[in-house]
Amino acid sequence: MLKLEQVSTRIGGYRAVNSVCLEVRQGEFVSLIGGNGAGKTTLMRTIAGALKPFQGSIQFMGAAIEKLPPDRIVRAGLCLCPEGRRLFPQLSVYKNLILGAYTRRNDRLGVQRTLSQVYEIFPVLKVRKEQPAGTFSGGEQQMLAIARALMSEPKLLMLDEPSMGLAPLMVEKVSEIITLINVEMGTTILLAEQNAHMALNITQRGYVIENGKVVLEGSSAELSDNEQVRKAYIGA
Amino acid sequence: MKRFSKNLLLLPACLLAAVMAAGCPPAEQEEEEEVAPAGEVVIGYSGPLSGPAAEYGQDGLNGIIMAVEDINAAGGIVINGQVYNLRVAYYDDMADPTVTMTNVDRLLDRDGAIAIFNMVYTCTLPMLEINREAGREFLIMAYTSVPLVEYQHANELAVWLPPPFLGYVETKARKAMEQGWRRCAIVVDSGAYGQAWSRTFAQYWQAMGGTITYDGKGSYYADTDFSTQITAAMATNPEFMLIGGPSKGTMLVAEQARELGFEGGFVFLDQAKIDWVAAALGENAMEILDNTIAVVAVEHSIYPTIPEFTQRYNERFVEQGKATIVTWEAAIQYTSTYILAKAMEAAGSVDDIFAIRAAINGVLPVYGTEFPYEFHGITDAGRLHAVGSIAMIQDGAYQPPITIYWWPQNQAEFDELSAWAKETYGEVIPVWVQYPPPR
Amino acid sequence: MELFFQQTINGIMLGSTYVLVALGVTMIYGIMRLPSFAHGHFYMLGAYITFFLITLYNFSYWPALILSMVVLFFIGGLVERIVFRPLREQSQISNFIAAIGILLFIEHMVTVIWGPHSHRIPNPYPEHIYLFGASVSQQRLIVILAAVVLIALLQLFIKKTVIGFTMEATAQDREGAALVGINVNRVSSLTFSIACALAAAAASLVAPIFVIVPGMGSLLVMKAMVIFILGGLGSIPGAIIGGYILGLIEALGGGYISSEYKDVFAFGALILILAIKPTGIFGKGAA
Ligand SMILES: Nc1ncnc2c1ncn2[C@@H]1O[C@H](COP(=O)(O)OP(=O)(O)OP(=O)(O)O)[C@@H](O)[C@H]1O
Ligand SMILES: [Mg+2]
Repeated sequence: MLKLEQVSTRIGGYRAVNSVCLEVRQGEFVSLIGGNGAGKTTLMRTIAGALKPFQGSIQFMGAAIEKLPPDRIVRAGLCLCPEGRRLFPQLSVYKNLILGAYTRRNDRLGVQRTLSQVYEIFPVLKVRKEQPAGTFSGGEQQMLAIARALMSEPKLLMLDEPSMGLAPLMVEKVSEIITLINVEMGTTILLAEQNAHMALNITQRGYVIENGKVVLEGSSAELSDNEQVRKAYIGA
Repeated sequence: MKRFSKNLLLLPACLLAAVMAAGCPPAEQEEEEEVAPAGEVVIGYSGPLSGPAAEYGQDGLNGIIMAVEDINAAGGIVINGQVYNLRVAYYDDMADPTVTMTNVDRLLDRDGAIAIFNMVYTCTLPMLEINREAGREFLIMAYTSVPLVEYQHANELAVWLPPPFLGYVETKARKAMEQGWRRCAIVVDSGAYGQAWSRTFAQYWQAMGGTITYDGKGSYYADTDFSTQITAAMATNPEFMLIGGPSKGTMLVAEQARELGFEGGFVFLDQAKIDWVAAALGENAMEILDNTIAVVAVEHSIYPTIPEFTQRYNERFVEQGKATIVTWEAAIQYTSTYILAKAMEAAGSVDDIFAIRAAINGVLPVYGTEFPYEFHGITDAGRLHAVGSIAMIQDGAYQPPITIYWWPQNQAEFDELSAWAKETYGEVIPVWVQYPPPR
Repeated sequence: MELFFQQTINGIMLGSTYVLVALGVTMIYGIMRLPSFAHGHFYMLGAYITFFLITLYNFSYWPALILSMVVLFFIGGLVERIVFRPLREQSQISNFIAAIGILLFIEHMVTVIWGPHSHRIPNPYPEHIYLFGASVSQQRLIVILAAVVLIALLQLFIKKTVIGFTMEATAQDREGAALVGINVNRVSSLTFSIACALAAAAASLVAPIFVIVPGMGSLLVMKAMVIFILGGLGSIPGAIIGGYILGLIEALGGGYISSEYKDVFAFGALILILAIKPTGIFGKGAA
């Protein structure tokens, strides 16, 4: 479904992603593990079209997307729920969600259907739909960010550190929801995380990225058992 | 390595030499021009051709251009059998004195101008500082009606063209008194000229027993809405408003005053052109401008040459989009250019600036029977005896113009002039205003 | 009291044009982080196009005004597309230079085509009426009302339509907007278009009571910048309130205190408000 070959991206003159090869298949739930500054965000922004790679190719559903602008990539069915959420803080929850479905704005019925689906998963969003997004707590904002990404009905959803800054209980809740999205809605997911423990618990496969390079890949179980990974990311 | 760098140094020097050679024609060529059938005399102009005063500057330039074309078409000027054609060299100074001075350098050094016309008082001032430098003399044709400047900046190579505005101030104030008006509100342009004018008017007005009920100003160049000042002025119940500055702003003030319900009269500063204002106001013009006292419109002048001049001016400039209406600036500059040409012939020289200046006295008077303007002579300080003229709009029509003579020294001289004017032009209403004013 | 009422109307009418132009400046800044110094010149161009349609093609007033808005809508979009979009990643100074370039280009083009002198659009509503003892010309009332209508329409558009949401979203988080699938370039174009159409409307509304000259937008854009800073950079309610406040300050200050310092009051108000609230009336903290 998504296939990266030799992708390299420069950011601020620095090669933050270096010859990355990566693949995600239909229906999979894949993690991208790496510490601070490893290059996860840069890689995801590159896939989503917010940054342009200077080398390599990115294929999504058989089409090259590395030269497309972000809105075309969303339209193709690939949506990034970005680091730091990037909500529209002064707009209401409802408007944030409607904008999430911007690429489907001509399919009114479909949007309404997704909206009620999303409200079902995140009941709090329905109750407080008129509230400006910026007044939400961090956890609620993360829910909204995920919900907004779902509104585009993505075939592949990329999540960039959804657990960042959340209390352990909230992290648990978020991982439950992500799993649900993958299992029940059948959405393919690529999840970037520093929290390897959480990520490897719920995903099927994973890549470990360091200094912009993929250094390890394998099934989540293998990675969890890997001595290096345990030392570096799980702290056991 | 050393030799190489030496060659490198030579390169710019060669280039420089090449550029200089290209810039100045070789000596022989210049000599050839001297013996060519027709010589050339350059008349310079620096004035505002862009920016807010562009229209005013363009009008004046048009007058010079038209005179030069007419003179050349009639065979140029002839001195000792040698024919000279005139050429106008002009540069835009946006009414900025620093730019004026750069233009003056260009006009003198590149174009070889012998006289430079300028139309903005603040730009003329620095020119007066340098026009008598030995070997670089030039004649200044100064278009300013600011009174007494010809005494304050005495300059034997300057000629002051339009009539001093004191004549207008006094005649307009008298006319306003005649209407029975006593209460005057001032809303004039905030520029130096507008302020000098309105201060002088206020002095005359109060000396005549009138009162100033409000003294406000507005930027006639930059602003478009004057309702704030007009509202404040109207709150003081004036019988008339002194307004003016450039015509555009004056038109807006008059119109907005009527919109705000003002029913009194207007007195315009001499800068504002009543015919321009009337044309811009469209069909309601005579209603809006009822009871307005202003400088007479060119088309209502008493000079018989005006219709023909206007027609040719319209064809040459208005229809080309180079002017909207014929103006006194154009008529005065046209006539002054003729005087300059005549003075060169009389002096028998195209480059002896002192002789040309001295010859001007001899070529005057020129009358409105032959030119679109008349100059009866020149004062010792170099101001041309230029005739001012005002008119009033009343009951939806222009009243006959009043002609202002300011140079007669006594009643007898004025009476003689009046008699001449009546004989020459028929119906004339002459008034005498003393200038410089008696202290 | 009558005097006060009259000056208030004068101020609101002044404020109406300020608001329409300042809204454009504010929207462009909000979406593109670009102080649009050329905006006064789009305003001027709008007036000339209305003038052109009325005098040359005998349009009546309202169709000419609307068509002028349409023309400026397209010109605005085009300018964004061919001038500012390629400069998006460049420094502020390149954008600044581009704005100055556009401004000079428009002014010279207009001067060449229509000359440096002023023109007038015949006033479609020259009568004046009395309201509570104050005399107001019909066209001035129309300016005030039309400005209110345009402001209301703009607000409805921004607050109630999905396209409007995308404009607010792009202003609040450009990358966030791109990542949900909004074509942020198109939003920029549209914003520029709307801003220019508003300027054309403002200019065409006041053209019959004022005159049109190539320099007519220069002072206005300075005031729009003041309002834009006064209102809190990029705040639409700030621009609306700031515009009317500035008009009222000028009218009341100029009328009651001194007409000479009319413009000084405007800039004085800017300094005072910024001293009290450095982020402007509706500014958002240090964000
Ligand atoms: N705008 C930028 N300018 C310069 N360098 C940048 C920029 N953004 C990121 N980097 C650098 O690129 C590298 C990769 O950063 P990136 O944000 O992709 O890491 P990350 O894996 O997402 O880290 P984290 O887990 O902290 O979010 C880091 O060294 C970072 O400092
Ligand atoms: Mg990151």
